[in-house]
Amino acid sequence: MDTKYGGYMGKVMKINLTTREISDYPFSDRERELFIGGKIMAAKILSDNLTGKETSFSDGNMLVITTGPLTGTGAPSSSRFNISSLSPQTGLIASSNCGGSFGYFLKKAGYDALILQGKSEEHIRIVIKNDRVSFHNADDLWGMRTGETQEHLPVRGGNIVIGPAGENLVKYACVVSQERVAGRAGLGAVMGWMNVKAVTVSGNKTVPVFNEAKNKQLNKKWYSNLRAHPLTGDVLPRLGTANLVSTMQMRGILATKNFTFGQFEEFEKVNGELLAEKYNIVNKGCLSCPIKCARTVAIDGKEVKGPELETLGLLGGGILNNNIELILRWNYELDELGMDTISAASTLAWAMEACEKGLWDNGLGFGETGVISKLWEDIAYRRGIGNELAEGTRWLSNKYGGREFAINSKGLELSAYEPRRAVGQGLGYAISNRGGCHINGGYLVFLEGLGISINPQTRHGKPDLTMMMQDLMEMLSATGQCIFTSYAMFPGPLIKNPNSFYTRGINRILPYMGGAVRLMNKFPLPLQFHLPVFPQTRCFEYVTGMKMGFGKYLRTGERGYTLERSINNKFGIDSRDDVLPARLTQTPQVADDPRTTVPLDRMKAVYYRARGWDKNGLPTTSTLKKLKLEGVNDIPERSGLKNLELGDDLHGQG
Amino acid sequence: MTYMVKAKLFGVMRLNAGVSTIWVDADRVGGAIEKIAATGKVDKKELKNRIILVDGKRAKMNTRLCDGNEIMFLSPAGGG
Ligand code: SF4
Repeated sequence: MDTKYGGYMGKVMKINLTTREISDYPFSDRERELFIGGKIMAAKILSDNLTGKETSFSDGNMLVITTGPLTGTGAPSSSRFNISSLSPQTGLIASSNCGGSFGYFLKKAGYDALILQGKSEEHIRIVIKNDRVSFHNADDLWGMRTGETQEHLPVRGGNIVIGPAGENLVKYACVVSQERVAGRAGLGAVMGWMNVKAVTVSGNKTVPVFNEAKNKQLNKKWYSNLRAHPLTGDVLPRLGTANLVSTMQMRGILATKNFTFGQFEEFEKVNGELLAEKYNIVNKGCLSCPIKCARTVAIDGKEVKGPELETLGLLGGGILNNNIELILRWNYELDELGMDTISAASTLAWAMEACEKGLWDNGLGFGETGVISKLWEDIAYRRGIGNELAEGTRWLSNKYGGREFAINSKGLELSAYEPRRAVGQGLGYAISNRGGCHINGGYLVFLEGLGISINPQTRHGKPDLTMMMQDLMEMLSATGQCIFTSYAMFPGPLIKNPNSFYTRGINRILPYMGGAVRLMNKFPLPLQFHLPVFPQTRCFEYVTGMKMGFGKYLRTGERGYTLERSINNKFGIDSRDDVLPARLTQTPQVADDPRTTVPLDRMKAVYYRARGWDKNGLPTTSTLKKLKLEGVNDIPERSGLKNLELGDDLHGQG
Repeated sequence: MTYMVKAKLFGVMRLNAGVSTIWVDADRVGGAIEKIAATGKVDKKELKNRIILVDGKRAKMNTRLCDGNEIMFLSPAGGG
């Protein structure tokens, strides 16, 4: 074992697919202290290897699959793994998180991370069993859907696979592990470009834990706290993420008709309550998770994974479809073809509007659902208009016009939260490192009307709260945990009693506590203690033996966020790219209420200052020094998004 | 004077109650809550603790009702 810390296997394996050379990638204990694991560890590896000139489909790019130190240690909801790479959708660093069993088994095989680089000459699947790696021809699997592919792989161990969409380089192809999906940013296409159909990993090693007894004791209590909390013990297990549809409707943030509106009249035909009452067979979830937020539904007599909120929202109101059974089917079809449901749905909505406005005569229309199943196939196999839809909204709007309603940020389509009625979420979408992602954007909408209800239209306090939430989630993800565990830090009564004096007080005050939050963001280290409502830090100490407190937790998250930003800066990203389509910043959602747009520029300026970035959105030298990231954004020659190979300068296009 | 209004339950409250809609006659939100609770399907305290909307607008206990109003009771939400 090459580490003194618990929670780590101490090894990173690198496979060069071109030469089939296998090597140990050096990752020191000092780097573990600073970059922890998961997406932050992956960002460090990518930062050390990318120059700013690579494209997502090139030998210089890497697919970095990382685990967190908590994975395999019994901590609740900690089996998640991360895949980072240059995204074919954005041309920038993207991390995609998945709850399948691959991460757990990667650690059992003795590795904290796996790096794939280069391109295999033939279609292959890779099998890793402890230290042994073998390459197998995968011509027999090529063309298979994700479910069938997994049926052909060894049962023992964890798998990641791609479907036809990944093989055909659909820009938003995903990676699938069991029924869980690393959905966003097109990393399945990177795997497809590498000619890798599947990776199977297994082993018999044990994940070391620094203080086993204390860890067990803590986890026992933590599991029962999660089960007792109104969100993690009641709402999410019983309704899944789909519970949000109804609340989003009431708050005016349920993206409808390609984000033209924030409410869908027929939401009750596609909401989580209906899904739970009529279609859910059983709750499922990731390994070691007491929450079990996933749904199971029947399609053609088969039990398959049900849709998440984003899919219900975007394939429901997003395209004016009121038939939930179609959404269940499409969700299954998209998973089987290996495509991100969010980007697929959003691209479809854009195409419908483009047709309605006479920009592109593609035969699609809002509410016309008969052709959609076939369309998914056409996209995955790049047939007919599917070949163009496979490129996503940014590419399409560059070709046909309609950028103002191409609902993406940096090339990645937004999820189902309409940000004009939750403006902090709008800021998050715009500045997020991976583009239009609600989670990487800070998920402020949770505070702006879902879990609690601070004023959704004010910009006050939002930049500082966004930064704090981003840093927190960055670290949760890096340790291998599901971000949903953090809901339990909001006291149950606050969530359960929205009308209480206490809750209303917090809702009122929070936006005006920006200064205090800024202070905490700026000087987190004095908060070097454990919060009783946040067992994550204590658990981290028991597992790894490293010192951790809430302040250091935030600071490490900040390091990760800024590191990803610096990689993006190398690829030419600056403030001109932290934008949203004009529909969201210039057209009020409620016609006679000018407050219902996203006041992006003003929030952005405050956000940059809070992060210690200059007005161009580049972290300053002193910020990098503070975060121990000196030198990471030494940019030999700014490449200005050339990696997208679109020929022109794309700054400022959503 | 009282009016027939439609009360709609959402979230876990609806799963607990086993119904999505209850018709009651009342003149104010507070009165409607009393009547809904009297059906025995939902606890009064729980109803009072929900975010309450009347025809989409935030309402209080003393908000007046008219014929055909729709009262919605929202449960806490989380996900991502
Ligand atoms: S809460 Fe849901 S997504 Fe998170 S680990 Fe559990 S089952 Fe997986």
